Amino acid sequence: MSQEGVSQVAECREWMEQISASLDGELSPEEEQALEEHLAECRDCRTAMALLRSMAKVMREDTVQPPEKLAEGTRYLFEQEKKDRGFRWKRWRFTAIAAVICLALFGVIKLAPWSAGGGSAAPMAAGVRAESDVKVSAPAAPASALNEMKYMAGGTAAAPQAPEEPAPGPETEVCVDNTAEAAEAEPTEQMSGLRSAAPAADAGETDTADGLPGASAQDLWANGTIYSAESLPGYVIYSQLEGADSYYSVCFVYGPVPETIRTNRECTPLESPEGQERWLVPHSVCVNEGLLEQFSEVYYGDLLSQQGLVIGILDMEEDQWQP
Amino acid sequence: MTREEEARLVREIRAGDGDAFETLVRENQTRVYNLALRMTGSEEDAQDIAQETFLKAWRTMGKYRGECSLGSWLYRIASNLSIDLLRKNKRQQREKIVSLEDNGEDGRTLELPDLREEPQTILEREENRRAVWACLEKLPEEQRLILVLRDVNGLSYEEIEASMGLEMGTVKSRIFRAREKLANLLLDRGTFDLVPSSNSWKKGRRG
Repeated sequence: MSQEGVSQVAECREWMEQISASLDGELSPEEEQALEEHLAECRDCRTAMALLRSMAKVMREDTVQPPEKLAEGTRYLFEQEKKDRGFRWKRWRFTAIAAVICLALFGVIKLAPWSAGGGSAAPMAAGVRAESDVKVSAPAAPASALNEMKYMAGGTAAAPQAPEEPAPGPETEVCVDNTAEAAEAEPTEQMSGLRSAAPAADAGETDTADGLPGASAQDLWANGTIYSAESLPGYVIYSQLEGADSYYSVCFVYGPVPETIRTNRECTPLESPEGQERWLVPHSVCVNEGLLEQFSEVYYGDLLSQQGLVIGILDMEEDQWQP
Repeated sequence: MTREEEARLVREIRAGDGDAFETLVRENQTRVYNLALRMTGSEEDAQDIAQETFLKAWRTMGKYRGECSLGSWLYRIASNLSIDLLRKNKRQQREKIVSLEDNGEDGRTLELPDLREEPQTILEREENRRAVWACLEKLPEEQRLILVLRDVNGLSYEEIEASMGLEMGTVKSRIFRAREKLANLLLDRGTFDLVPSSNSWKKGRRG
């Protein structure tokens, strides 16, 4: 290597970017040709190329073999979890039930006298008054539901107006404890509390029959899809339970969603009026104020927004339905 | 593995086939493990992350629609888990959290001194190879991830774009900036012996 001393190569920076891309095989033949011509006359860039190439070589070649127990251990955990599915499902039922309750809540609210023009008497009325005209038909296969929802979201974008007041701090911690064990601690009590709301779900069905053609909550449940295209006021909780990233339930969130959740959980931005944000948040549930505390105990999640809309339980495998 | 084979494997795993699941693990564990290892710098964390990546992949298999390769999908899960862990550790250490937006740009260009030896020869020595990994750990998360996906996992620019959700066409310059920074860290560290006369190399002159 030359002993000429050192050079300032800032002006070659653009060429170095080409060098980097060339090492990755990402240049066109023309670009390669031009780079070669430059390299022929530029010692600095040749040094840069040698340096970058040697670094990439180390990173490519220094592969560490994972320990044998990794595959075995992972398989073991897989089998255990498969066995526990029934048990896990009991936990998941809370999510599903939450969706049903939301649906019921919607029906009840819609029927309630104050929903027609009750003003501020009920804090939850605001969102309900702004009903969407769009009717929803449940898709035949849950797999297509997400696309369907995106479509719906576009279609209803202008209809449900989010109330003016900002949602409470989206980063608010709803709970302190964050262990899955605790969630299982008092299933009976939680369940009974939730079940008591269940009959209302059926009561709500007639009202939402347009959106949910001829189906009871139980049927929809069994089909893996529960839908409502209406704005549902309540609190959206993003669940942090283990395995909480399945599309077991999904909420619309009108308003900002914390960035960490957006990036980590693949939330989908939805078409929305200018100046507003709307997101599709996998694995979140929407509950009314009365149930907030109860659910935050069950879910240990983050409060996302004051307004939300449950649109479905998705991708529920048949074998996961059985308690 | 072809897309058809992947699709079959996915179906089998969704049906709860343990052998299919183990195939998925064995086919991908080295790259997933190395991704996590290079992101976290810890073998123990890398094992945990690799394990969780596969279990999570299984739990969310219904989400996988085959729009990217199974490998890319797994890397994405592993990347997210790695970054989650790094952030959790940082919070615990009460350190400043480097956001994903921080691309680590410090305005420093790569200034190359004359080297005593070919970089290739230098980096063939074990201690210098270790230095590369040590310096990689000093890069901001995003720069580290993009280099790991490119050089450790061998993803194309297009795959990296999809995996990291980056804007079209930004991968090339991001990768270069990450490499530039890594090279500067190695130079600062003295990994590459400079020629004795180059004590004033920062002023320099063109050769």
